[in-house]
Amino acid sequence: MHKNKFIIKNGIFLFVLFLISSLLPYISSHDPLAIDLDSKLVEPSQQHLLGTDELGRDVFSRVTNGFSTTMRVALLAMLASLVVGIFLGGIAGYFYGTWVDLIFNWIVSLIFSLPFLLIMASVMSIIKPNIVNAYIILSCIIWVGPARITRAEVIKTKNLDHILAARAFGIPEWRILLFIIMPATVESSFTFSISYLPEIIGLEAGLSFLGLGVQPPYPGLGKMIFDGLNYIYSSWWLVLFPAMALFLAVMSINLFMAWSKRDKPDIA
Amino acid sequence: MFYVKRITYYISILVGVILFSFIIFHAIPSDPARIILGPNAGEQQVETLRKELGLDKPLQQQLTRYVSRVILLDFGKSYTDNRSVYHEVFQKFQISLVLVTLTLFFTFFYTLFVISSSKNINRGIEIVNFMLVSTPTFFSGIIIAILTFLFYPFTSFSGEFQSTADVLYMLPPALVLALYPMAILARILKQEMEKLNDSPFVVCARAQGLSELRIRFEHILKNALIPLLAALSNQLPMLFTGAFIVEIIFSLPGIGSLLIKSILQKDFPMLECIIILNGIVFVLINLIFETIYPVIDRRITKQYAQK
Amino acid sequence: MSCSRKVEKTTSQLIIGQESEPERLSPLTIKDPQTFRIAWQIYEGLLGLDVNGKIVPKIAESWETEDNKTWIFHIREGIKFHTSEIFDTPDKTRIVTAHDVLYSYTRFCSSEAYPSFVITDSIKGASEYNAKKVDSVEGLKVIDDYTLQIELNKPEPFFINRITTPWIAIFPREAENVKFKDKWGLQIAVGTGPYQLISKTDNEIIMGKNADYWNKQKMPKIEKLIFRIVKNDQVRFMGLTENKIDLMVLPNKLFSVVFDSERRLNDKYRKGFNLKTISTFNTHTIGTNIKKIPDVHLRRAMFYGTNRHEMVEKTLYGYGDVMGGITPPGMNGYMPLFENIFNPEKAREELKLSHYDGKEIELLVHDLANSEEIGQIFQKQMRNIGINISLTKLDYNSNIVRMVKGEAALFSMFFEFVFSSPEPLLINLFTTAKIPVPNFWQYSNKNIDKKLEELRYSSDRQESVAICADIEKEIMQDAPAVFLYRQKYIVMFSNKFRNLKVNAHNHYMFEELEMAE
Repeated sequence: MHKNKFIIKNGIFLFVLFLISSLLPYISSHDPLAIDLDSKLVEPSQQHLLGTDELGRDVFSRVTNGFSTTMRVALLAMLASLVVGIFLGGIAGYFYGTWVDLIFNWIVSLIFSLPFLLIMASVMSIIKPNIVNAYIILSCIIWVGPARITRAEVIKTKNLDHILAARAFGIPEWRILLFIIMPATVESSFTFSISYLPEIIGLEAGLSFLGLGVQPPYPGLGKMIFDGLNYIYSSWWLVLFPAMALFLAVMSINLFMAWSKRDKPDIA
Repeated sequence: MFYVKRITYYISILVGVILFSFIIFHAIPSDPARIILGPNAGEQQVETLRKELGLDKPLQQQLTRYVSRVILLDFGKSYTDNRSVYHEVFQKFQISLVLVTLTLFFTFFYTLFVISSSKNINRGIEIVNFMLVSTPTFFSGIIIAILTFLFYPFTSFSGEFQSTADVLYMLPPALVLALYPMAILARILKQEMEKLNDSPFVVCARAQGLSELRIRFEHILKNALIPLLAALSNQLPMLFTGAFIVEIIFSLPGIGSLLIKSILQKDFPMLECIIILNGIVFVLINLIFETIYPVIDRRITKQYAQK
Repeated sequence: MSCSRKVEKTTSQLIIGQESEPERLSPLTIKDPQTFRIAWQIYEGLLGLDVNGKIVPKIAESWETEDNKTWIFHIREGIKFHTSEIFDTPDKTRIVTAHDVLYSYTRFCSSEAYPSFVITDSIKGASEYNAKKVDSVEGLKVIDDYTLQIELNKPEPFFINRITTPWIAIFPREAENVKFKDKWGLQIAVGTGPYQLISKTDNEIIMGKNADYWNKQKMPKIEKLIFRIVKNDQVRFMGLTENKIDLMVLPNKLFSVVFDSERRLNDKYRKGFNLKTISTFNTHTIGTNIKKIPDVHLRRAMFYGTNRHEMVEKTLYGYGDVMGGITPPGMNGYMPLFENIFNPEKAREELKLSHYDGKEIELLVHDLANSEEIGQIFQKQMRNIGINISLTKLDYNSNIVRMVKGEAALFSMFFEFVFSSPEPLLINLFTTAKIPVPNFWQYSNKNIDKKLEELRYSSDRQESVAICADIEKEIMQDAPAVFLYRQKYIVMFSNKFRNLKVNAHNHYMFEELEMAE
């Protein structure tokens, strides 16, 4: 039961993060899409807090909007994949050795063994290429990560002494699965998913490389970092601020996770 | 008996991979003949090429042709310039293999370092972990690339492994590739270590006066090993095709950038070969890991015995 | 400094930074401009173009025609292929004859050849060969060892302007010998050019001077060329400034680093480097699909509402020429036809005349050149006059497929014009017979078709080219596309070297490069 507190605390934190991301666009100082070719690549100044990009657009506004878009979509994708992954992984681990586990493993292995970029590129060529669609498909692929970890943990936990004791006490199986085994195993996959978040966000840049991410002229955090790297010599602010925004977000998630873990009592 | 079952299982996965790759390439609307000949060639010429490549035949025929060729390990010729797919993939795979091996070395040593370090260093490691995990690969990649270029002597790659300089050139990209797995494994390890730190047999061992290092390696590591290996088995297959960002930044002609290039050029024979190769790599890695798991955890082998 | 190859200090060498992996060096399949930079040191065609746009003889010493339909080419005697193991002779080489030219040209008419569009429609019997109905091209005939006759379907006074580019190069038939077929273009590449291939990997290509080059006035002075692939722009630039490479093409994104506020080379770099501006025939266009935008007033509104000057000044730092029509400056017979094409009042007038309902029009952009940037600027400019554009970014190849299928209303394209004269250009891009490829805008005007056909029978090239200007003006009244600008490339290279020459086909003539004393 105590383990649930960890999940709940982090869950609330992520929800708050989501909320903040949704509200961020309202604090932008300029229109993030307003092109002004006469003030290209302007350094951070009074007029433009974080400078302007190669088309004269205000970087601060683009970072807030891009952060908002990217973060919300990434969080949702992470959440979806986590939920699906834990659920399926837990069931498979519980039924370890039976055909349920076998089918699960087969599907997971198949997905794992295919280069995900290929699947993304192929599917996206049929549907409209935008960031939401891209992340929906992404969720359908990355649920295997938490699933596998959960399964491994469940297998390990299944036969620990306190479980056998609970069985001996006559507690029904489903109770054991839901309230004793799962909470003990969820943490690893949760940690994994959260740690994977920056990669998910970074994937957005990789996808725009293939034309599958945020469509121009809208800003996306990963894309901004990726495009900004082209100007790293002369206009450092194009890379620094989006990267910092990303860094701060992820750091805060990690710090919160670590902090919430400290008041965790011992395992019996 | 165990092996036969597993191998059959994995062959079924490979079959699934082969079929799936075929379906993907023919389900999506694309026009490889047009892409090969570019925007200038007349429709007639494109049609002629389509017939040559067999793209106009019905799906079942194409499938049987495809499967029969694959079984004979004939992956055909690339659509872009007619070169032998097998040779190309094989050559690039060697480079990716060296890269992944070096990455594993970095990861391995870092993990050892984490296990054997004291409480204070642990704090430092946590912070470093945060930073490693908080930046996307291309960012840390470019920074390291620029630093490398300024300070590291081995800055060009001849395309093949002709000298030690070529291997040493691959150390910075291997490091960049290792950043993420390093952080993940270290974090899992720390988690497991914390969990097990207060468990009865560890407390007992400490009371007995066994050395910290010995406790760590013999008791904690053994229990933490399975989630560690599970995470590693997650990461490992992705280090081949997923390394394309590192490959592009460091100009390494490996499997990752070949994959991207082939996707953009809709070079089906190349893509099919890469997918199958990826599948085989995946199967091998899994077989190896699955052999290791029971050896480590006797409880699991007991379950097998019960079945 | 390469650590894998020992280079003697006494041999002069030039290290060129390449942007991407080179393709297979087979003239039939090369399509990437960066590969051409490499390949055209090895391969040559019958003719060439000098830096002033004049046609110069290469493998063909002279040529003549009486009726513009049958062309006789006299092959220069004494040209030898590069020495290579593919030749079974004691000196490992062979003299180039008309039979080799016949062989090469035949192969270029085949369906596997990427450049076949350059000559297939013109040469008699080429389309049948292309469709695999016959196994030789009727119009290609060897008269004797050093004379080749090319017969065309219809008269074309501008036929030689089709082959001034090394796209149609002469290469030996031993290339298709079973023993060497798989290695051709990968480890072996044999042509007649000033440099020959020494080694090729995916990261580095090394070429050495061809000591037996036929053109004794243009013998290469730099002994060795090393093409090094550095995919990342920043790292490549660092390579240049750290003197690890000697020459690279400056990508637009680095302009802000290299130029000061007056658009001149920064003091920091002036000491060690030179810049060379190259005016090629490469142009950037936003094409319209006339079937999807049938309203000519709407198209004209876009035509007059685009501020091309702004694009060139702000995105290209002025390194480009504004174009209203299709003929780029520098091409034989270019006339500046379009004054004041940016006219927002006129654009708004045209918009009022049109039936535009305010719906979003989709513009396809891709990941190459400045397509995305230009697309966004275009979107802004259109919004100013009242047209709503939405952008969709796909990779270049998907763009092409959709463009050819006619699925895109607007598409951003850049063209590398292969021809060195406006007649073949107009015929290819605006005649009805060429719909949908390469007449991507699906423009059909019987009157124009007739006029273009008449060009074939004109006897005076000057006159013919002047007529082209008139035709072009007429075509652009219908605004089938919004031609934007002709891009000028900037090459930055170490001032250890001088006399870098590049022609309008983007052919780097490294044989003219010399060390600065």
